[in-house]
Amino acid sequence: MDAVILKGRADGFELQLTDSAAFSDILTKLDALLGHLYKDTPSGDVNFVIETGRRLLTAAQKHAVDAVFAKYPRFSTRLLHSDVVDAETVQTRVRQARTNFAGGVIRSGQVLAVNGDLVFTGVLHANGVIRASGSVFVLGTAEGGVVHAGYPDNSLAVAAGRISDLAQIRIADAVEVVEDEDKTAGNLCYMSDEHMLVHADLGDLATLRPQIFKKMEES
Amino acid sequence: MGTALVVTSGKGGVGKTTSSANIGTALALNGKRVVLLDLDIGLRNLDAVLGLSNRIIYDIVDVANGRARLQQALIKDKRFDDLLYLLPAPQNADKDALTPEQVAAVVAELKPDFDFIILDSPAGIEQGFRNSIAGADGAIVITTPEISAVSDADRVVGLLEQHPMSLKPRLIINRIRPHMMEDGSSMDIDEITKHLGIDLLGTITDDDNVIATSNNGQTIVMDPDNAASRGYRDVARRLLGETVPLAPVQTHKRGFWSRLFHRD
Repeated sequence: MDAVILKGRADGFELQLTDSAAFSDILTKLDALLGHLYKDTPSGDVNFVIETGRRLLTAAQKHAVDAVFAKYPRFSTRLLHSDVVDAETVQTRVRQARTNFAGGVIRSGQVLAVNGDLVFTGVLHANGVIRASGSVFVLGTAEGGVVHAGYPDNSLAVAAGRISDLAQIRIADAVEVVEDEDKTAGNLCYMSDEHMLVHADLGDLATLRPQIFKKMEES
Repeated sequence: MGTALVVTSGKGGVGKTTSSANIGTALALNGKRVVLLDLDIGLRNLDAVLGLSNRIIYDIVDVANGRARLQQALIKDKRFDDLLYLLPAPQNADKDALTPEQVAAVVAELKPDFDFIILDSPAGIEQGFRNSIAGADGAIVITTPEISAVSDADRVVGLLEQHPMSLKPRLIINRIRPHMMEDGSSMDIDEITKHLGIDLLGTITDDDNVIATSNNGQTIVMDPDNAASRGYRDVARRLLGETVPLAPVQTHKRGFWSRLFHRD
């Protein structure tokens, strides 16, 4: 099997760097292949998608590939794709996408912080903080305190459930002080397109944030 | 330029926070621009007493560390137009999160914009106390007519004397129970003042409504007819330089039936 295979795609060319070949062979083969192509196509820019299969290129290897392309000014790489990702990236993604469950009492001065969505079944006291990178669903009780969903910058996150007795609702970088007149304002808070925190009924969540439900289906 | 006053006591639970809130409110009622600084880091209360807890976004540590501007952290009490502000303490930071130099810098930044800067000190005489006195021009020492509170106040006066301020420390005797003072079972006002050797700024009668109002996020000084309220209003007037005579301790006259059935 060749170390580098050129394939035509509907949207351009793809260079497959065979994952079972030695990387040094790939570089030699790539250089030769691009050299031929450069001669065969005397004019015009060409963009390549690079497919590395089950190999993950290190920074040095990416650099080496770029160095080969640098010899052929009309050729460039558009996208680097591989079938695998490293464990750390996977763990971060899993954590981000996970739905966490937490109970117990979050007392004054305590902060409960999670990655991903949070279903809170405990009691949040005044001056306590619940913080999640995703959405926060309060099934327990909140007697004051702060719920911060989408920390620090996920404006698609929502705060839902028993949120009317909170001191503050925060989503991404927006803050709402819950005043007495808000106490009846529904059990869902989300960030509108105008970057305002808006209250709605929980029943509207499926239409307002369909991605939350899609994620549940996928996992 | 405003005057910075620290409210301190040494002992906990004698009414520092309640007094800070009420003196601040009373000064605002007199048309002065007042900012209250809560320096009880990790155990903040001043926001709750004023009913402003919900609105805290940034705190004094955020300001001191440059995470927020002073104007972002100040909370305006809407009940007093543009007169009363609070700079809250953080609830989940360590007592050492702030240094005396940082407090002094914050106070200096506030002085041009306010008539009074009131620093509510935490109990104790450690870091929090040192932070509170750092930026102050004068001190208000709070005590109650109890031997433990007076003893701690004496210690605090001693410490204040080691760091002389431009204004001399003054005393407020809080939670006075007229009937106990009358029958001699609690310490006498003159006795306490003489023992501590500082000027008396005012006396506050013990009153259930002080607790009741603070639980609703209100201050007792808003009630003009209350005895404790009058005490705080007099304190504010004295701070503004008026000569206000000390109101006599009002004793509750016991009626015939009371005396008959509730013998001591």
